[in-house]
Amino acid sequence: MDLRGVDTSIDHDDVYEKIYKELNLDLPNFYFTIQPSHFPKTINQTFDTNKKDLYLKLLNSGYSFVDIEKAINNFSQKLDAAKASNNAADIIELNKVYNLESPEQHNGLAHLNDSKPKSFFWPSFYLNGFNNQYHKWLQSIFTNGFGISILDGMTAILKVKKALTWTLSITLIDFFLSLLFGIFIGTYLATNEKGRWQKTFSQILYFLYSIPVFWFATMMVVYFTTDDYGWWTDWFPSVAIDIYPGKSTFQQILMNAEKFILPILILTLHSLAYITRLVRRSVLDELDKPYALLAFSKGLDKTEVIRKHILKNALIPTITSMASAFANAFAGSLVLEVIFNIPGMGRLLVSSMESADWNVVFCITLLLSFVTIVSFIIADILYAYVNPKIELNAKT
Amino acid sequence: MKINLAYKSIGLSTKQFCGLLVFCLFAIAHNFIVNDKYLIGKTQTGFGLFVESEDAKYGIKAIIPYSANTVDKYNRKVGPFSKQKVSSLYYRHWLGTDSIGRDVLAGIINGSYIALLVGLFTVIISLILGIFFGFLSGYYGDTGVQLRKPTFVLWMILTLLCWFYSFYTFGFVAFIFFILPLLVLGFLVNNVSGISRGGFCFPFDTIIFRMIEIISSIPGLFLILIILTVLGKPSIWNVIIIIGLLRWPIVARHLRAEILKIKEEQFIDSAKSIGQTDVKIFLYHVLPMAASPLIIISAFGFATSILLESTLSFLGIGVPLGEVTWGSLIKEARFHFDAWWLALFPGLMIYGLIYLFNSIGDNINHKIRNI
Repeated sequence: MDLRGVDTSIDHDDVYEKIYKELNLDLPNFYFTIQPSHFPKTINQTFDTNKKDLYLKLLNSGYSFVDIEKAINNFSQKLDAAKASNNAADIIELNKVYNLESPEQHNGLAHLNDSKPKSFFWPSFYLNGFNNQYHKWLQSIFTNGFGISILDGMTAILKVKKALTWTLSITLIDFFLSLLFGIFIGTYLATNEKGRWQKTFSQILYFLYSIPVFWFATMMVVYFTTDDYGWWTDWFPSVAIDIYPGKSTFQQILMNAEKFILPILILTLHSLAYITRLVRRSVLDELDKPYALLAFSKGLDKTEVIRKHILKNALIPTITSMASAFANAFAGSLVLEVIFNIPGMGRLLVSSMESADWNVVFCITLLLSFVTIVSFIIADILYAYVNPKIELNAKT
Repeated sequence: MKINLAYKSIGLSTKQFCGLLVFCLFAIAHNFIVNDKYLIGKTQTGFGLFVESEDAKYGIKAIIPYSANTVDKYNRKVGPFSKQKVSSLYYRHWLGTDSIGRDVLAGIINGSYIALLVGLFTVIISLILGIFFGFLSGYYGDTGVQLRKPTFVLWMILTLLCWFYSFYTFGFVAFIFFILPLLVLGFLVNNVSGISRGGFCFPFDTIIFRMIEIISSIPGLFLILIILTVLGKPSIWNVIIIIGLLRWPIVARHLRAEILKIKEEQFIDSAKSIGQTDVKIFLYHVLPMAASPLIIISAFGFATSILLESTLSFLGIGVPLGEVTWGSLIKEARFHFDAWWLALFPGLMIYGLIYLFNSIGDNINHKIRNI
């Protein structure tokens, strides 16, 4: 045991270096490198993060690599000597170097004082070939399922697939429910301008539109899942998902169905407000147009005009907004997953970001942009389908 | 005497204006309303501003004698109506305290300062970038600017060099190196365009529209989370800059659509024919006509940015742990179900502010549509 209570019988540096190389972190970042000419090509091979930061700080100040290497080797010898003699004061003093903004002023790097720092850098450019981190990551997409999660050794795509099942089951239900009720309520609000519930409905919708999802969810969880505020407030089950080992993700979702009621309710109410406002606006716009007047003057009754003429046209602008609404549902579910402890994409993203599990983070990001782009494409195709004026293969 | 109410001319009601004023007042004067130090205190050497309680003999205290970070160890998690161990009514925690004894009211007022900071600066950043890029893509389009090939190549080399140096320098110098190529491009465009020498057409519209599409292809919250984690160091200014950078495409897209309409007007042609430069035409003739949608976007953008920031601090990402914001107060409520005041009051502030800015945006929208 050394002073910090660390078991010195294992050589931690060796283990660290092994993992560092397994993760390909010793390779150059990209196919080519542009950096100041006095920077070394092999800077990534320094696996000690503290030392690497020290190198970069000094290089940024303009010292030549040879001088820095000498000074740092000298510094390491001093540190090793201090560690060997268990001299606590020296170890603490020397370790201060790592936290300094300009480490060259520290006594430990006194060797640098003789050399002159450059004040002006010239860029240098060189190719790294295919043996670089980016290329390895690209390869891992096809061969290794987006690489391995450093937390548990599973491939990233497998983790994301499990999480996606949870998230999709929430977002899809929310999406269809809010679409169904949104179109219905929106049309009702637009056509019954002087109706009994008109004012109440629009005020409730405006309230739901402005309310932040995370606050709404927190309020519901705090007030309506326990009996802290009287026996009658215990409406919903508490916010923990039960994990049944050995069951598939889909079975687990079904077994936890009652826990989904509250998150889906909150998410649906939120997107309902958005869609209803949109539908109401476009139905009102369509009602002003001459063809609506013509339909009424033909003697058709109100429901028929709305169903056969107005709604078809009013849904065109709605469809374009659907794409972004779907992407927003994903973002909304992120917060809800964190609050309700649902092991979905949002919680996976937050937890893997906290532990710097980049393979998983990149996988989620790529998947999300893919989902967004696909939903935009679907919206475009639907747009052309419902609006005959637009041709998909129009020549520009 | 007739008072000219300027705020009415853009469609704000008196209630909204007062709400805005109160919010700004609380935000700007938060240090004088909420403080555990003496605002003016008598020390042994004389009078001083913001004197620590131990150093002063007597002085004037703030209305709420707690800072956002002051820990009152005798009153941990006490509610607004429950019994509190305080010496007098002046030291009472009117909205309760959180689990480590910080005053909720003080936190809320400190949070309003952060909300103003976030809302204001994200809007400013998004407006500056959005107007700049919207102008380039809308006014010049794909064929509006013709640079000669040698000029273009020289500019490309300059850009690469400048951005290289901006990467390896820090602070203001880095910023200058980053912005220099854009300024040079602006100078070139302003002086060279209009001369059609069969040179190289700079496709502003395509480039900028692709940029907008790339940014809007990933849901904003996810992108912000990822960038913040890559940056690593939590700071409120990182949050502000990133939200601002993500919101300029909306401004640029709307401005571009407006410019495409205005460009066809005759007064633009007449301004060009008397030799007015493009930048002046844009600033004096195009921008005032396109201002109203920008004002509406800014009002909604203010609300959205505050919502995003509070969501981030609710998740505990991006904002430093010591900083008390509305989101971080609600975060506390998640772990203390019996503390109803922690969930209610900060959330009411967020909701109120978002409601305020949404209704302001709606009102301005209404006013402009009716003109």
